Amino acid sequence: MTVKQFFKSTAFKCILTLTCVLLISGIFLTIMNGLLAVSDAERFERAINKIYGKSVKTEAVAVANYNDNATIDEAYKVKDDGNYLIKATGKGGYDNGTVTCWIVVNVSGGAVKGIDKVVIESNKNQSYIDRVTDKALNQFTELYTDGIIYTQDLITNATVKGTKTAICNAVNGALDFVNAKLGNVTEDIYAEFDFVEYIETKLTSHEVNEDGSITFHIVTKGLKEPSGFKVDITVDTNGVVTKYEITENGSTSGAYSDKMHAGILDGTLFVGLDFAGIESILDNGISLPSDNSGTEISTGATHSNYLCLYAAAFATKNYDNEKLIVEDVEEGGQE
Amino acid sequence: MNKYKKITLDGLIYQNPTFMLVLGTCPTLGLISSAFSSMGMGLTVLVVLTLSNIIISALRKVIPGAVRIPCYIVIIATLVTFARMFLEKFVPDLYDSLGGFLALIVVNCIILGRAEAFANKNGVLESAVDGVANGLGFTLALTIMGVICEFLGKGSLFGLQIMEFKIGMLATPAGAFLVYGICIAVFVYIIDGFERWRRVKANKLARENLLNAKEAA
Repeated sequence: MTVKQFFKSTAFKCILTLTCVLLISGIFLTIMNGLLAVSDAERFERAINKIYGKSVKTEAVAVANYNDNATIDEAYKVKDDGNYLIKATGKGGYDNGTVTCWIVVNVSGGAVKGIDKVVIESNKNQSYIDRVTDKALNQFTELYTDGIIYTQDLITNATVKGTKTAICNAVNGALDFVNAKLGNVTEDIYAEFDFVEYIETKLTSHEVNEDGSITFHIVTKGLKEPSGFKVDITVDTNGVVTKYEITENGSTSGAYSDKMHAGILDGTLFVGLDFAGIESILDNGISLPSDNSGTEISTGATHSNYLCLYAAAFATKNYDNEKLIVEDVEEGGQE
Repeated sequence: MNKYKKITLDGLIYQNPTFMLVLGTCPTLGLISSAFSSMGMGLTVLVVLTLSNIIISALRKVIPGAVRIPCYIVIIATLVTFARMFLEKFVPDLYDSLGGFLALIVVNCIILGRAEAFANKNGVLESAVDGVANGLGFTLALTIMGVICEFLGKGSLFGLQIMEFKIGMLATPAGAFLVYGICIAVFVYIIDGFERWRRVKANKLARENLLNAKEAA
């Protein structure tokens, strides 16, 4: 084919037409992009407007984490009213997932006065996030009291324990962040104790009884399947468990609670044991069994059993910590 | 029958892309849980379809047959990208609610189908009317189903809560599939009934004319 023939051929026509169409389209879109592109500032303004309900001026605040169960992603101080707008990601959701929320923290007179709004931004692994309706989220505003730590059982209108836990953690994280920024930080006395990896130290409390024994009201964190458990454990002066009672079973939707070790469910497995006895239940010290076989607590609800055992380990290992006695004498117990 | 009336009726009713040709099913099932989203999707398709029909019809004699499909795709993709930019700038709520389905308009069978079946063979005005009619047919079908699904599935209409009673499944794509099937059945039943009635009426008229002619003879 000669050059002249090529320029007269259908192939050339096709190439030319396609090139022209592509060029014209490209030029058109470039012009339109210049005219219609939404800038980052505009996008941010829209997001704030949607969350806050009105257009407000904000000032970015340096982020820091004051709560192990949440990550503060972004923080802004609203210039108009002094409130804080926090984007926080709560951990501990179903299947180790997370929920990211925007939280408007009402601040007045240098102190947190409430939660104005909670909006879910995104999530990871929370298949039933739609069950958390606006009605459920409004409860964060309605239930707020000074010093509150939200737990999933406080929030009704949604039957998703794990997802609610992650949202509560996000809100608690936002509250801790704002309180820290305002200089209102409360000391977490259990933070330096042994075996706190799976313990919600800020939700846990204790009281010293007349006979010298200590009753712990322990709240555990959730694991992959189960949400947190609430367990009351009394440890005598020798470090031996005298009473063990699960007050709230975090086992997933009750489906696993039937598979839990009977001695753990009613506490008889732990009563009479000190830390060494509790540690001996597992072959490899107090660490989460990697499978569902080979240990006494592997019953098909290993994670649930483990959280309960971990709570017992926490209580028996720390029963003689000086801070427990001092705190109780000074403040009548941390509540 | 007037040419434009026929094109309009075909697009709206007799060849309704959603109920009669069952085209564009992906956004239909994905979006009809919300009346606002479904109407927004319908209107966006209407605009893209009309513009693509006009452009393709105007260029039909210039574009060689061998590369017509790639050219159509480029034109449609350009229009869809423009629609995305426009919605993101001026109607961000709709842009957010349509999500990925907005970009998928590029591969919507209705648009490519009308380009290949109609705009490629007809003039600009006819193609524009065809685009509007088919777009309206798609919009109406989606909006009707969106209203049904949102009302029964969420107890609301266009986001406004109306009642507490709801059948949650109807707000999911599975429920949308069910509503889609029922709507197709009802639509086809009505059209068939109308056609039967029209045939009976025409036969009756023809018979009367014949009798009158015989009497006159």
